[in-house]
Amino acid sequence: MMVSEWLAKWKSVEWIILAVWFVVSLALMVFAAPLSNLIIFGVDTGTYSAALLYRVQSIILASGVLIAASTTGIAFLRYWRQQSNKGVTKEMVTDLMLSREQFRQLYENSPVPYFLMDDTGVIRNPNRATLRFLGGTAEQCSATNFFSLLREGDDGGSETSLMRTKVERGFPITKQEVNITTLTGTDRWGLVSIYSLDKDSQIPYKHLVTLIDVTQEKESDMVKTDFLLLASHQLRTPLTTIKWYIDYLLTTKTLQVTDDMREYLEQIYVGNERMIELITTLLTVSRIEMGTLAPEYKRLHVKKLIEDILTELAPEILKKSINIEKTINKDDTLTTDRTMLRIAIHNLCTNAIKYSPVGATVSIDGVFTPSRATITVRDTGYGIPPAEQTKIFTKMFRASNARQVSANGTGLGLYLTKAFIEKLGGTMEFTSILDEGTTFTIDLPRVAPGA
Amino acid sequence: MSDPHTVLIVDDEESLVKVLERKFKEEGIEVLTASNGREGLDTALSEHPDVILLDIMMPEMDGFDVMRHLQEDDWGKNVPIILLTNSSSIETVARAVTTGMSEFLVKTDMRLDDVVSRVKERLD
Repeated sequence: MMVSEWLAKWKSVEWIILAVWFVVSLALMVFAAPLSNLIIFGVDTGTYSAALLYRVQSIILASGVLIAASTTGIAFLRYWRQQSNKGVTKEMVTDLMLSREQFRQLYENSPVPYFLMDDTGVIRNPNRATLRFLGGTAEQCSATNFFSLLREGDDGGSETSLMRTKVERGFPITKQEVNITTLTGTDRWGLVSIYSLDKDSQIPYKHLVTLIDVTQEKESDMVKTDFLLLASHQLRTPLTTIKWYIDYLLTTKTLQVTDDMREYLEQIYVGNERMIELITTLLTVSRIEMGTLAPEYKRLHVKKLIEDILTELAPEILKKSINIEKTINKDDTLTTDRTMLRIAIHNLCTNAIKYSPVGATVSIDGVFTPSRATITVRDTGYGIPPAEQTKIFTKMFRASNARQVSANGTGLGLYLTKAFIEKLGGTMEFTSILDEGTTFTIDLPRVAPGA
Repeated sequence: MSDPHTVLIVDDEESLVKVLERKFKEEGIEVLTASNGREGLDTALSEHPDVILLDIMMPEMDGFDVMRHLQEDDWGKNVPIILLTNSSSIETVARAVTTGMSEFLVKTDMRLDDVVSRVKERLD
């Protein structure tokens, strides 16, 4: 016990050797003192004269000094090295172990599924959330290729192969939505992010994958879409009944309808039409916000599109004697979604006519460069009050002066217009001066991205 | 007028069938009605109307199924069909177009006179 404690105290065998040799050397110095006196001072103080003994003593002394010097050197070297490692204390090692354990606990028990993956997609170190998500044991998950769990979408698997390529090349993937078939065969949705170590790294499992479970959100989105489709149908059916019965009363020759009755029926008809329009718009807004409205791209002629819109608006144009000026380049093709662009331009033209005084001018210009199309709708109408201009693209916005001009209006027109234009890869801007007029400018790519 | 034309209206919404029926009769067109897809298909195959006005969302059998069954019939594959619906979603339109429908009308967009004139165009 004592010895081991003592050893532990000294820690180093070198110190013991040093001590032993120090004692031996000292003893030799004492015993060899007469000889030393002879050598150093030339004084013979004793009887040691045998050459052999002298040599043996000298060798022992020299080797003692040598070994003592070297052990001292080594001991000092060790000591110095310890000094330079200063900071690594026992507490720190304990801390390190603790934080390692904390990290492990966090990794293991995080509600977010984490796992490592090699270049081909084989899973390693799945944490508990991963096991829950994929519905298997650690062994089952580790024997699984992540990419083989991904369901092919409408694209026939091109998304998955793009993801594979990205992983192989070490490109990060951020929150990409994936549809996963779990090990138990159920269908789940996740947002996958993959961060990779340097692609030249020798570590085989160098991709850290996080998989956020969005199955519930996705399902509630689908329920919402189903609800909207149902609502669209269910709400329109009674409106159709109202519309057609009034229409019948207004057009039939078999029933007696007085002029008063006709006037009231017309009022009901107009109110009902507004209701239909409002529901259509609200459903479109909901579908845009849920991202379920997918554009369909076709090549179209802008001039023809605008002419069609103006034909449709002819009654209002005539009623207010609006002067229409139209300048559109000859090369006027666009590859875009016809319905969305039509609604967008229709809204801008309707606004221009609605918020202009009788006899005003509305000009529509179309300027086309090889890559972009700029469509401008300019009116000389009431304009938008400066204080309200920042809000004009927000939902349910109606300018204070617009409300005075017309009580009707959903406040969704410009919001929808902007949403559509952005969906088609374009931008929308405006300038407006109160009581002088407003100019809306749509800038679109000649070919919509994704077309 | 010789030999009046017949239109078959297939729709589960009774009130809409009633007003259409009355309108068509005033225009001198004979009307057959059915309140679901199956009944509509049976009536079509037995009565051979000149035009079919077909709703999409219906109990028993939907409009697309009715069209599919008519495609298998020698007479049925040539009869003009006008889809008249309120499911104006892009998905429905796309499906109607791919099923080979040339006419697809959204009810709330149509006035009665427009429906009549569309049917008359098919009768000529």
